Amino acid sequence: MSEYNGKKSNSRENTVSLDEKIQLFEDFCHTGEKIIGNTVYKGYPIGQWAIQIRKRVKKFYNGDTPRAHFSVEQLRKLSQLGILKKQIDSTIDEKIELLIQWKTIFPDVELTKVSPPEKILKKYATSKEVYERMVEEYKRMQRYYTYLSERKSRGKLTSVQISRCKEANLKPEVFGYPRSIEDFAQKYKISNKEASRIIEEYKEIDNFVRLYRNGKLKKEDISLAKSMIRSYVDIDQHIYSQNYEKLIEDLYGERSELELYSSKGMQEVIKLLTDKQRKALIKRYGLENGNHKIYSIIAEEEDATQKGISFLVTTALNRIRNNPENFEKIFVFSRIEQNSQVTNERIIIERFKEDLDKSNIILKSVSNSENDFSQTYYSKKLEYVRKILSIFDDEKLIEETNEDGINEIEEVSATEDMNIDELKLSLRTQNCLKRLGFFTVGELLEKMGEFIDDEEKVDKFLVDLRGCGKKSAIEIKNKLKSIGLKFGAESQGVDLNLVRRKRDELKEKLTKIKEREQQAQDLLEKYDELLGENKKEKKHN
Amino acid sequence: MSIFEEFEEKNRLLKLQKDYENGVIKEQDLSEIQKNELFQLYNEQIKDLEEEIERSKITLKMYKNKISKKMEKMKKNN
Repeated sequence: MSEYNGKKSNSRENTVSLDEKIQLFEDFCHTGEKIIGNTVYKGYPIGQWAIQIRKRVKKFYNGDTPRAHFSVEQLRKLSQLGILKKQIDSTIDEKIELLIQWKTIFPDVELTKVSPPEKILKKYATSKEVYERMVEEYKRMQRYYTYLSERKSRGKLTSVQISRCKEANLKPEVFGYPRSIEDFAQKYKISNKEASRIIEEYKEIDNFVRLYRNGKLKKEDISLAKSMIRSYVDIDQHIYSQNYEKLIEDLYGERSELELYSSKGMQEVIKLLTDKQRKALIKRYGLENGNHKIYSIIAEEEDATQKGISFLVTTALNRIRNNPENFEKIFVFSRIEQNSQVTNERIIIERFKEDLDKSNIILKSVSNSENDFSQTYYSKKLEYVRKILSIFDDEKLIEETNEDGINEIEEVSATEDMNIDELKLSLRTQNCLKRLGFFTVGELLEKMGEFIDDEEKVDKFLVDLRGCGKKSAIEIKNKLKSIGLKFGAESQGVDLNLVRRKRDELKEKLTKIKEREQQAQDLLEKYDELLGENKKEKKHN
Repeated sequence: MSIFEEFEEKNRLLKLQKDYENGVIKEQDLSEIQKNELFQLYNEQIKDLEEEIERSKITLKMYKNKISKKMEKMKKNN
């Protein structure tokens, strides 16, 4: 076999016979390494050969070629060497599928880093050996990513392959973003990249908005949030509410919480301005026809100067802003916020109640709002008001807490923790067991444990219990069987029903504990809010 | 076994469990190996749940202590 100099030349390859290739494969296999698409051994592209051979075999078996270019013996050897197996996954489609598989199983392992992300991989790896195999796979996936990106840039991927990569969200900056991200970006008028980042980081848009409202969003995301999230929602749902919102923002700035305002209230306020101020304001913000205009155009229409119009608008805004009564006309919850200066909880509650009735009516009117934030965050605002009212009820949760802190949780008893009472035995049998010191099923089973697989011994044990006759023994045994316990030969081997029941009971118990956890967390937040207001008022005083 | 195969194996077991619980496969139709596999899986899940419950109890206790303190603070402020 002549030495291969690395140059691509069909005539060179053709000089290497299949037997010689098989020999090379065998030699390579002794090294213990895997053959992959670009494996080169002793200067020979054995990786490429393996791919070609597989394709040829596949074609022959599919009936695409009439002539086999290999003998049975050669085929057998190739199969033994593992050359014909799918692990030499070199086709583009296979690469794409493996990358998708990787992304599904390890969604938080980024493949763009130079070296494998140790911490994240260790999270998945159950042992050192598994970790090392994961690192190998990671490096292979990295190579595939690079390969696919290159092919895409050279226009060598089909549209089907590109859309497969796109929908699986593989390297979106190369293949494009999935439709869900594009829709999201379009809805909130942000770039695809930003949309993808928000969804990846915050999972749900609600989380992103909540953090923004609470002032806990990362600095770099705040300006993005401002452009996405509206501060004001019109309870009257005026057709040009967006323009009203712009006006309110210019008047009072952006708010940290969603504010409900009334466009009708705003119209009343505007009526109190002078004619010229009113006209200039309405045209500037497009409050009547939705078309906001620049100063030069308004000046032309009103036969005035640009400076004059600008002065009119500024004075109009100042006039509205400087009158505190206007604030109450425009904003729905302003009365509540003013009243929260009072320390006495009872007084707060009385004042909240009035607005709560009004709020219920308002909720219905905003339920059809096109902005899904408004419904969510208005509901949250209402929830806050309700929290204040319900705070006395929730304090019961604390009163129920004893030193242990967890006694009031209904413990869902597993079979062994079951009381004898729960077996619903006859009174005589029940008393007999209790007299002998058996108060739970577990205690009884503990005694029977040594001979539970011998049904005769179980029968004898039960009958021999003092005060317990044959009838009681049969009753006890039947009741135990009815709750899933098995004796004799049945007790040997695997009891799936029992473990399943135990698993389900524990799941239910966990759910209840989690609910209590959530209730406790909510109550803590309520107290924090109230204490926060009280602090403000102390400062004020 | 490759990483993918391992995780696929786990998914296979979970699917078997789901089918068993939904009644798609009956217990008498399961082979001994499948029974043992399911049994092991249930036991693993039970262990994880028990640990999770213990952790949650501790968290809940911590919350309740905090709430008690806040209640006292509220009473002092008023």
